[in-house]
This record gives sequence, structure tokens and C-alpha cells, in this order.
Amino acid sequence: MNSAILTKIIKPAYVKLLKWALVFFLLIIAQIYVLNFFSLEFRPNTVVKPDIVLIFLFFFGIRYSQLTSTLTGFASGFFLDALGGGMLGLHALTKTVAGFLMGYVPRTHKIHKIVQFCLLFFTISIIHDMLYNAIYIINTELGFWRLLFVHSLSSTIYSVFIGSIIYYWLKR
Amino acid sequence: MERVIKFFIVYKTIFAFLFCIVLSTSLIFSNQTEQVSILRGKFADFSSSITQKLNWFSLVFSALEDNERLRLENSRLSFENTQFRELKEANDRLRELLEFKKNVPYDFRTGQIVHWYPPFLSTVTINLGQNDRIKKNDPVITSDGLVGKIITSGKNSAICQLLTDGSFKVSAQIKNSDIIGFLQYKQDNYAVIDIRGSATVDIGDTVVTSSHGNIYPFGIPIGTIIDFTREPGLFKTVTVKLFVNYVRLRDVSVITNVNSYENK
Repeated sequence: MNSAILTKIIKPAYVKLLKWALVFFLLIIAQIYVLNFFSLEFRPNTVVKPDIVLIFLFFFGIRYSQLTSTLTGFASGFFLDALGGGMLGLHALTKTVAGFLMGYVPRTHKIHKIVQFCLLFFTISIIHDMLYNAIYIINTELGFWRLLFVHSLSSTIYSVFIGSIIYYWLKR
Repeated sequence: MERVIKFFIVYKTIFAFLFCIVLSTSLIFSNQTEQVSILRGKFADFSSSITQKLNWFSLVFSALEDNERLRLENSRLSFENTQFRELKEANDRLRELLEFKKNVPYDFRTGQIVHWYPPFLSTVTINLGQNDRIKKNDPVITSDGLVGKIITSGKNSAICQLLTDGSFKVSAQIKNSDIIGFLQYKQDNYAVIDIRGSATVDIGDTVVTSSHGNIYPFGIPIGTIIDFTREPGLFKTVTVKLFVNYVRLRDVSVITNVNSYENK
């Protein structure tokens, strides 16, 4: 079928939705599998890797509305849990909160400098990681400071580093 | 009615946010239910079908390293095998003398880790499922010791909860004694076990799965004692260094007939 006819039949909004759904699906697959090769083990049994889904959720969130970023956060978190094999609902919860908070971040055209991006993304990411890890360590022996500095801060810093590289590349 | 609809439309973002929070929280609390377990099993099948194809690349890169490691392991095991064979023959002769019944061996299925779930290394997905007779609560081990247990399985893959998951507890015993306690992961490569205060333990004692509980056969190695509290009290906390390196896990074995053997 002709693509022009297809575009007339399928509303542009749905095409956009399908495009973003495919992008996030690929990001989830990359997060679950590909990024294991970029993970860092800096303590025994403690591995950190960047949260590429959160990074793109941030770019998505500062471009579209708060409602869109909240729902996208929930959907991407749900599928990340489902396909990753972890506790179902945990990423859905934390990414819903992250998507909702992105609604209070200045829109794309107002973020000019990389430092601005790093600070904003760091804030969202540390809240996301602290919430995730705090729920995870219930009924465990892990303490609060270890949770903050070893698990949350380390993965946030790594995500901010990768996010700033992607931001710089997109800005060019 | 119009005002209510208008109210929902004005605050639609807040309502959507609250709805998503409630839905995800209820999912978190429903993880142990049968319906969610089945759903997780189906998703595990789907994701492992993708990641198994991607695994080919990592296998190519790690082949050389694996070859060398396996060559050394093979030499060591061949030597041990010769010794064990002699011990087994002596054991069989003694059993015959005492007219003991022969042990029924456990059934093992060997599989590979397809992907794992950081940051806490809490679960991994393996490429064995219901088609390989894997089911919930089957123990998962390696030659080094206890890895964890199966929490849900699809047709061709299963999710294994690792010992390093904070909510994992196993009934453990100090080898060659009757000292038993619940072992739980603490941090890095250490776990803790609370035992009765009057128990006598030594640094270097081996900790194994206990003879209590229905999930794990007795005697699977878990770790070695590296420290314990010396203050007098009702309980004593023992620190155990785990044998298994959970970050480097690649191949695992699942024991598939523990319950049927234990019930005989």
C-alpha cells in the first residue's frame, strides 16, 4: 500500500505514538541486555549501569506534556519490569514518579547549557533511584547511607554522565 | 455531572498520576500471586527468546577466556574424580556390609543465564522452563554452591531468585554440627546467620543448607564463616563469606526432583 494513503488512513498522532512505542521498546531491550556490557562492578555483587530508559524519558518529558511523560513513565517501567525479570510494578512506580516530576522541569527550548541539563536530570534521577532502592531494601540488612552512596548515587552519576553525552550529541 | 467531568479534565494529570501509582503499588504487592507469576513466566519466555539470540555475540567474545578456565577446571576435576571414585568404591563396600539402601540421585538440568537484573543482582533469567520440567521452588546451584531458587517459570525460561536478593532466606546449618539458623544476604559477598548464643563455631567452618525445610536438599555448600559476635547473649550473629561469585554466573544447574525424592 502507498505510504501516503497509509498516512491518510492512520492518523498522524497514532503514527507518532507507534514510533515512540517502538523507540521505548528498543531502549528497554538495550537496557536489559546491551547495557550489561557497560556495567561497572565497583564492589563485590554491586553492579551499576546507566538507566537509558530514564534518560530518554527525560528528553521525552521536557518535550511533551506532564500527562504524556507520566503515562510513558508508567508504561516503560512496567515493560522494563516484565521483560527484565525483576519485581513487577517497581520500575512502573518509580518511572511514573519520574515522569510526573519531569512536568515541573523547564521545557526543551529553555535548557541551553549542559550544566543545566545535568543538574535537572541529576535531581530527577536521584529521586528515582532512591525510591527504587528504598522499596527494594525493605526487610534487608542494607543501611540508609549505603543505599544512598553506594547504590543510588553511583547509578545516578553514571546515568548523568551518559545522559550528558547524549544531550551534547543531540544539541549538535 | 458536567462540573464533575470538568473537574476530572482540569486535574487529569493528577488523576492519571494517582491511578498509575495505585496500579503499580498493587502490582508490587501481588508479585507472589499465581496470576502474576504466570504473567512473569510468559514475559520471561518472550524476553529470553530475544536475548538468547543476542547472547551469541557475548559467547563469541568470551569463548577464549572460557576455554582456558574450563581447561584448568577439567584438570582439577579429573584428579578429584579419581580420588572420589576410590572413595565411592570403599563407601559402596561399607554400605553393602551394613546393608544400607542405595541413595536415589537427584535429577539435574543444566542451563545458562540469559540475563540478570541489577543493581542488586536479585534475579536472573535462565534458559530452562516447564518444557525442561523446571518448576517453582526448584533449587539452583553451581559446582561452587547454592545460587538460589526458581520463583516462576515459562515454557522455555525461568526466573531464579538469587541468594543475594534481600528477601531471600534459607535454613542453613554449620557443617558437622546441629547448629541451624536462617541465612540472609547482607552486602558485597557476605551473608549473616543468627544462631543460638550457646553454639560454638569457628572461623573457617563451612555453612551448608540444612536438613529442615522442603526446598533445598541437605548439604549444598553456601559459604564459610569469617566472623561472629563474641558478646554473650541469646543469639549470635555469624558472618559468612559466600562461595558463589554471583556477578560471574554463567552456567547453573537446577535440581528438579527434590520434593519427589524427599517424600519417598
